[in-house]
Amino acid sequence: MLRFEQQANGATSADIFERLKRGDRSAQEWVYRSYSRMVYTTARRMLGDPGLAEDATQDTFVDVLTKAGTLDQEGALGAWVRRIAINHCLMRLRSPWTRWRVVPRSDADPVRSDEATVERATDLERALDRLPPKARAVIWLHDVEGYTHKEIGRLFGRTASYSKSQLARGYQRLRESRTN
Amino acid sequence: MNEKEDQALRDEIRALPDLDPPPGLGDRVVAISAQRQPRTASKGPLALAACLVAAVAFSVLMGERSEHAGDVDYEVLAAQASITDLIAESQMLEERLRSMPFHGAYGDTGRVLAYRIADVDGALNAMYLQDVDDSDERARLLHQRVVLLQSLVEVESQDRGAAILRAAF
Repeated sequence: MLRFEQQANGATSADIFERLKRGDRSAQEWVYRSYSRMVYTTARRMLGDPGLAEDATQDTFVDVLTKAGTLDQEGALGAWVRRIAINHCLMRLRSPWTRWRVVPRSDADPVRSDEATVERATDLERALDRLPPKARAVIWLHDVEGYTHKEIGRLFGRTASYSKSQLARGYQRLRESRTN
Repeated sequence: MNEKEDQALRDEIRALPDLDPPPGLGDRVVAISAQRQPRTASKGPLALAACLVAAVAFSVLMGERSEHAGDVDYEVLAAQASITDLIAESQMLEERLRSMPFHGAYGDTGRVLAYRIADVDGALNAMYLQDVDDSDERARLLHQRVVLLQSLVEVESQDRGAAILRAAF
């Protein structure tokens, strides 16, 4: 593992894709260790449920590790991983059969990376978890991932106006829930 | 005023801490990926045999199901039904589920079926998001969805019936 990490410092995405294509175990572990926090955080924030986030993270990395050799990958590895993760989250949000699993829950996450920020963040996280799933996802995609309203509308099979109204309603709910 | 508050919220959301995935997930991912790696030529016959066994098992299962289901022959449905018919059938079954008492509070078997339906929905959504225009695949997935929904209706009817009997006596 150490040897791969030393090599990976100077490796391009193409090099890593090539290693993944060959089923190189150390490359797989490196990719998981490099991107799993980003993927799990994105999934947890978008889906609002640790169980769903774990499923989405697992499916994302299974895709990353098994499809690395079969797709034409262009651009940075991290961006590709992130795109797959967001797609898996959207699939779950669009499915009426996973929606019933999405329940507000903030106490089942693994240990946080930065304990000093817990107190400040917990209140906001709970408020986010109480939002309707799509409003929460729109807020995350727009404010953190940097998607435009037009792009978000397309991801949900709707228009830019849909994204704007979800964002506005989401913020309204966040403000209300934090003043209560 | 709202714009300032929104900006403050936005800054806070962006500053939320990263979360660590559950321990053991990485090992699970690597194990699942190893099973799903593209088959090599030497494993071809084994894969074919596995597919045949799965197909036979599925046919037997479907045969049993048809006897219980009575009015719906799903093999005929798969061959003949149009996508529109499958969507209508799917919606009708969802409506039946919604009308059932305790809708959504599934038992263990119901939960497994609901997860499988979610997987099918995920595949249908992926086709939509990736602009895949494959009506055969779409029909196959929709048919699978109808079969799973029918099973869920049956399982839930039995579970609820048993629960009501238990409560009554």
